[in-house]
Amino acid sequence: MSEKILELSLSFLQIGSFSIGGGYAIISLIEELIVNRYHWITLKEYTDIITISQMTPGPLAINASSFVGLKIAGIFGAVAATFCCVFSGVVISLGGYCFFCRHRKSDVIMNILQGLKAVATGLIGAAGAGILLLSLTGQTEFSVHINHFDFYALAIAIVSLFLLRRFKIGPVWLMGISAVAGVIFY
Amino acid sequence: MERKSLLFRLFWLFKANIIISCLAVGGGYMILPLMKKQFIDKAKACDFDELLEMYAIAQSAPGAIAVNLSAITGYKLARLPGAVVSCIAAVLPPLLIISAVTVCYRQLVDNHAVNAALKGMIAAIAAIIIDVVYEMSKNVARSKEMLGLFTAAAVFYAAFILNFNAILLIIFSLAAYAVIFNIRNRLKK
Repeated sequence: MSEKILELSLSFLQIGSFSIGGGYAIISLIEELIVNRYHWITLKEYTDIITISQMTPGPLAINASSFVGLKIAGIFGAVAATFCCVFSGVVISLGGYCFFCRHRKSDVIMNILQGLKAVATGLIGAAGAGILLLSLTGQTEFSVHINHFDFYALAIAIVSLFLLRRFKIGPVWLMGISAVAGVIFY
Repeated sequence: MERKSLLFRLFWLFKANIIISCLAVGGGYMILPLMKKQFIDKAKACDFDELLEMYAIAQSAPGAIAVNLSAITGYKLARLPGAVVSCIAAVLPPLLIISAVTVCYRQLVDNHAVNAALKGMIAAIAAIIIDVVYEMSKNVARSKEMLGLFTAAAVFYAAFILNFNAILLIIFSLAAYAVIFNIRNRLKK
């Protein structure tokens, strides 16, 4: 049992340390370790986790570590795997933050931060465009051929954007309203 | 916010992170608009520019962006205890929800109403992210440099159309930034 927890912890430490960029960049890394190397879960179970991840809150890596940990070594396994999965990222983030705070007066450092902000804008923009594409066409990758166009989704997105910008509506309300709209439309 | 007692700040961080974490459906990119609502609009704990800086650092570190950002914002408000409390509050909801969902996920995945609600929510999530990207672009453009906006547009194109890897884009853009900064400095002299 403790051996399994150790193995779990080390694998998720590795997953947590080598997945940069978040989101879907890490799908193949997780698959490589927990499906192909250790055979903790089957490929079918793994694709199910990805589906569940899209329906429930929380990052994919956390969902995967909770699921695998729970299955292999119960609740302690889940906690250990999740802890190891976030550990190195949190330590490096805090170190980076302290570093930038200490060098706030340096021109070079502030320029790097400015650059990182611009990159973040582009990446979030791409993620937003990807989600919009998924919502409107059901496709996950950009292409000129569109088989199906969902006008209800377009309507929900436009009304949401209007409510957000004009009335500063909170995300809690917006998600609730759009869920109800989804049930009515589809 | 920073004048309040430590216990109050820790409690507030716990509550805010639980709310954010419960709403972060659809990946780590939802985290920025949710953080903005809690930390800026409600608590006025920092301004948008600071939050963007923290996000940029969280994104460049390995691991889940959402948890990294929770740690940094927690650290800013209440040092190390704040970071620990925020991280726990950030991973608790997904941990509990996944544990509960594994028991009955087949029914959930096949349920028509759940899927319909999800479709509606994904459209709204797209709108929420577009809204925050607009705010971010304004912030990047404010420094009166075309370089920032140009980088953002180039990264968008490379990530969305060309499907480039995020880590490659981060490294490449930083290198490009350093080179341009150096050249400009020399020209000034």
